[in-house]
Amino acid sequence: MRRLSVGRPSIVLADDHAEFLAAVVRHLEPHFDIVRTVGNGQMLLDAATRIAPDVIVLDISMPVMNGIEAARRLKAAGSPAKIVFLTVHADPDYVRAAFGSGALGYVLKSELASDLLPCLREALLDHSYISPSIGGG
Amino acid sequence: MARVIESSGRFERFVAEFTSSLLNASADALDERIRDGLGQLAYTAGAERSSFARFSEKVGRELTVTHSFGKPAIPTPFRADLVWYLDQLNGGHCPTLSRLSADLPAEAAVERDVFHAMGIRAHVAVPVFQSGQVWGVIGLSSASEPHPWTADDLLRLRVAGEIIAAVMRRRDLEETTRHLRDELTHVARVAALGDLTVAITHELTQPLTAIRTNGQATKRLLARGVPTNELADALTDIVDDSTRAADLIERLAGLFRRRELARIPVDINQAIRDFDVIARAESRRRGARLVLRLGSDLPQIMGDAVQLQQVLLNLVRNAAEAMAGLPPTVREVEITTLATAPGQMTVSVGDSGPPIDDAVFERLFSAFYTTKPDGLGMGLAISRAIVEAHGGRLWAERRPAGGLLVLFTLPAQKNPAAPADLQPEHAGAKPRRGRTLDVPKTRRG
Repeated sequence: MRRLSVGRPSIVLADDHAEFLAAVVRHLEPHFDIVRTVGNGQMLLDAATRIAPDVIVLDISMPVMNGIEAARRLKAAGSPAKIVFLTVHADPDYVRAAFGSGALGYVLKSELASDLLPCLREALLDHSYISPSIGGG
Repeated sequence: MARVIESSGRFERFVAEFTSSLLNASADALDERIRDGLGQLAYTAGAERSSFARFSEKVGRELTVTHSFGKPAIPTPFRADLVWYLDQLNGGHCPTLSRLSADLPAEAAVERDVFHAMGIRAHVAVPVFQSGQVWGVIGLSSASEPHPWTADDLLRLRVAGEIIAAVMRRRDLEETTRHLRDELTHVARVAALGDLTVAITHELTQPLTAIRTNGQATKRLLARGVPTNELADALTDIVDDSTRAADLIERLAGLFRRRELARIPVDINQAIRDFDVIARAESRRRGARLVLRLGSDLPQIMGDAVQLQQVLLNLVRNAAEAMAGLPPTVREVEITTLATAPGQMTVSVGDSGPPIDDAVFERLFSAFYTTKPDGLGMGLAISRAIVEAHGGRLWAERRPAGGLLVLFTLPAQKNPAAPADLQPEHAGAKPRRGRTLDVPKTRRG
């Protein structure tokens, strides 16, 4: 029986690394209402459609359906959720694809502790954010 | 340029924090912290899995994964059937595979199949050396290709691998030391066996004599015919005395059994009372009186009652012997227990012997120092080792009126050796430069 905290944004998390997901949950729990965690892109589609969270934080590499594809489909279906990627990939191609799919934020897993909360705050204000350590042109 | 400097500053912080977290970790937390460090390493390199493995020392040199972090979907590739791969590592090379199809040579067909089946598309591994031999391996795997591993990635892997290997070797050494200390304690205990033979014989004589007397009485009663109450009483006494003798033998034998340090709740006052028989025997042998002053409300400690009794035996014997030159009426060995701080108690053993001169006092704790002609001289050093293994301190003070007081503290908490609040040091370790990393030539295909 989930206690609803009025005023806290709701979040759905997607990552196929359960242990890492648990760490993200611990990090975000004081600030967000974590409604669901899922392990692949398809499950994310199902959950996001049903729950309509304020924010979605997702990994790129996931089985069944990857994060980029899932984000694309969510946006095509008209989901208003703010989408933030949380990934190991710093490659510019991945970054481009991520923002191209309709995401607002892009955070590196190695910078979770410093970057995720600032990114989510910006996303809630409809501002885009990318981990500062992804540099270059 | 700013980015390069920024990123190397971050890595130096990682090295400082990683090293500090490993050095301050208790034995139980160490493995988890190694895995956390591997995770941070993987994420920094954009990899999905990082692992550490060590080679066994036997012929055949099996590689066993000791720590691994990553998505379940990407397993660790340190396997015995990857012959080409293991050859590379054993030869001190770093397999650096940005794209398996291009970077694996023709003879690495098994590796290609296995990596592909595992979902690994790129991989890098660095061997870790000890005394000129490959001791272990640290590696990163990625599910995306090409994954351009940089020279920095290799350097970071090597540094992290050396740190992990160093703490694992330190843990091995600590275990060896513990075993050696237990061995030494056992040896000293066995050596002390001869001293206690008289005490044992004396203590057993009484119940054994009673058993024989009651046995003879029983035979006479039986010879008379109908069993009587007297017969029942005599038989009861025989059983009680046999039990007493057996208990005594068991308690004394327990002192000489080889054992690892136990960690169970110990009531120190009870342990002293259980040990009382032997302590009194030791004191009486040397013509001294034993006085117990046991405090109340003592915290219960975690430890090994038998080893602590060994410490007390050693201290009581020393105390009694120190008073050999005094008239019997003033020879007194005093054992006290006292709660001295929340979660801590102090036990002391004192004698009323003559004043101790500086030269003797200075050398009390040196191993192998003894004033006794037939002693091993290891008693106090071993006693201190046992107390320190319990997280306490053992020291000696000279009593104002003459004689020595040996005190030791025992803490109540479970893991007293783990430091609570250490600030991480800024190690400022610079990644090693100027070493050539052996990277196989990549084939552009």
